[in-house]
Amino acid sequence: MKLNLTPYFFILPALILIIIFVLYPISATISLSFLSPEGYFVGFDNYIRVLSRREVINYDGILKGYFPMGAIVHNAIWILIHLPLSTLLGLVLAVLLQNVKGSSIIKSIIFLGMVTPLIVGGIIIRFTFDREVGVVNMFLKAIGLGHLVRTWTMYPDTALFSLILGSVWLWTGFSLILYSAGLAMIPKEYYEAAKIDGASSMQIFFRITLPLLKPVTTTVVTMTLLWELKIFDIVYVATYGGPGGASNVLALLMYFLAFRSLDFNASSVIATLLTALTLIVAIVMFKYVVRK
Amino acid sequence: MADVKVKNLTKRFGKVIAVNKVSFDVKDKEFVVLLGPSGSGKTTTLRLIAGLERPDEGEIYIGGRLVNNIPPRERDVAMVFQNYALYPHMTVFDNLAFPLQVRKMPKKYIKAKVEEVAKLLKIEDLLDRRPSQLSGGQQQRVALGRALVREPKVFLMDEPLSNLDAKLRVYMRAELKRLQKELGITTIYVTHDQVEAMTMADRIVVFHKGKIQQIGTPSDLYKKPQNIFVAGFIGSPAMNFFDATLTYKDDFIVLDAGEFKLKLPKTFSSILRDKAGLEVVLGIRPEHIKIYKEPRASTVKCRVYVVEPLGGEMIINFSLGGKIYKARYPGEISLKPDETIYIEIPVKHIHIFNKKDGKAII
Repeated sequence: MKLNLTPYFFILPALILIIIFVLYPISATISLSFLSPEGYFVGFDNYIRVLSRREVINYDGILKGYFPMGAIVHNAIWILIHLPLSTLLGLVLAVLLQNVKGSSIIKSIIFLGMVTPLIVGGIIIRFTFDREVGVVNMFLKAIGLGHLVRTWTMYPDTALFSLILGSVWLWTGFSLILYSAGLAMIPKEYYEAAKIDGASSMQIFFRITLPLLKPVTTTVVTMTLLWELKIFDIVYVATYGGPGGASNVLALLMYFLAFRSLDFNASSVIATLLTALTLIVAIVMFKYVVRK
Repeated sequence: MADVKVKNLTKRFGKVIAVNKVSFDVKDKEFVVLLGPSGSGKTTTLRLIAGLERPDEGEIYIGGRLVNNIPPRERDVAMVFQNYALYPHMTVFDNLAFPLQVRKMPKKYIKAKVEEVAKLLKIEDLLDRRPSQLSGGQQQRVALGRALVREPKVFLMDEPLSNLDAKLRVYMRAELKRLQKELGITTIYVTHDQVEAMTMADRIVVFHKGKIQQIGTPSDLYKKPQNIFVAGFIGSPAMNFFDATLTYKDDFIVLDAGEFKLKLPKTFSSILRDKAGLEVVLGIRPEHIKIYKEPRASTVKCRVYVVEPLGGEMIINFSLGGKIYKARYPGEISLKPDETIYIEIPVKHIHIFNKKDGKAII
């Protein structure tokens, strides 16, 4: 049988671009992570060197409970707090605002966090937690907790949490909009049938609404996870990973290693690890979507 | 089991009055059809009874209990939706079990009950499937099953057959009627299909523009329509209408329709005595018009427009005075378009309506 080459010509332009701008940089980065600065193959030496650095994992900090605990741990904490919080908040808001008049205005305001450039978002977070002008401290004073007032991003024990909370505000619009769209897709007959069938509001939510939103939840969780793994901009502008690395994350550490320490091999190790992590998330999501 | 009473029910959507002072009763175990064209208020009335809408005025009683302020789930009614509203993420078993599960019935009872209903509806083999894996007819049975499973006081059905193909619809019509009689559940059924209404209902409530036009048995509505709307809506093909004037001639009342005149028997004169000169509408059903190829006494000459053969019978469209009318001819007759025919309108089958208000006079 003669091989028909015509279809391949059509994908060739795209393929060339993908090879130059995606596949080549990725493979170059991965190979760099196995090389010494002089260009010799060193096996996993770079990995061992990087993973034993305090900036990546600080065992002492983890065991004694102080920051910095290491960029990997910071990313993990980010995921543990931000993922459930922003997802749930988006879902709850979407449900509450579902049949409210003028809710599109409220949704738009919440969604502003998503359209704001993250650099600007990071600056806003810095101001939000500022001692003098921050709205958080104003709120604390208003409810009689004036003794807690401080610039939250400047202390090792609160810097990371401040950024995480700020990022919840920036990202909640994403899950809110997706869940709102998902809710609008559910025919109202299901709710009416359930009401007549005798279900309470809670039963309707947990047995009808939530299961029908499962595809949306999958998308929200995956996209959020990827965002959290790659988080960079807001940390860069709000705290620069500080104080003392207390709010440093993998992507920022990668940047520091490459462009401050000029240790490209170590930086490549982090890049490779990040790629591997995001790839796992993407593959799981892809499999789920394909199965559907 | 229970009866349903609706009293002066009114529902407005903004400035539109969807249901306007509607009152009717449904007796225990009765099959009542709410019939009307789309936008006539029949579905809204059903939704008011279900509790999915709140009435602006009026009262709804189910089993003697005022339910205006009682939420749907406490009304003990079950509803079958036009598009079935089967929960897509649940299996057939879970769909059927849902009304019992949310009421926290024991698992053993739920299983037994679901199996019993599945057997009744012949869907035992489908219990593990999802709604998306079922045909329209099977989905419809599951929807019925979900309504049946908790033995509600009242069954509400919103055009349940309209999404089925024509053949299945005719089959399910009979199935549904038999099931309703077998189980003896009070049923309120909404449809815009008058054939469905005629074939299934014990009584029909005809809706138009939010108001009830007539309540009666199928035979009542067919034989004694109370106004032009009901006369035109019930029966297929629809009743023919001719504008006419009542006149007197030699002590007889004569219906002058322009193209023809009908001498009415003396028995009508007591009703029509003082109505000379009145503008009326003469109604005659297609099946009552007689057709001849040759002229006879009291026939009217007209022209064939088109013939629709139905196998056992034919619908003959004829033109008279520039308008097209329909007649039903039992058996076969060879007619061509533009051929001349002679029709007879038997006086004993005519209906006379007041042209002004559309109300039936005879």
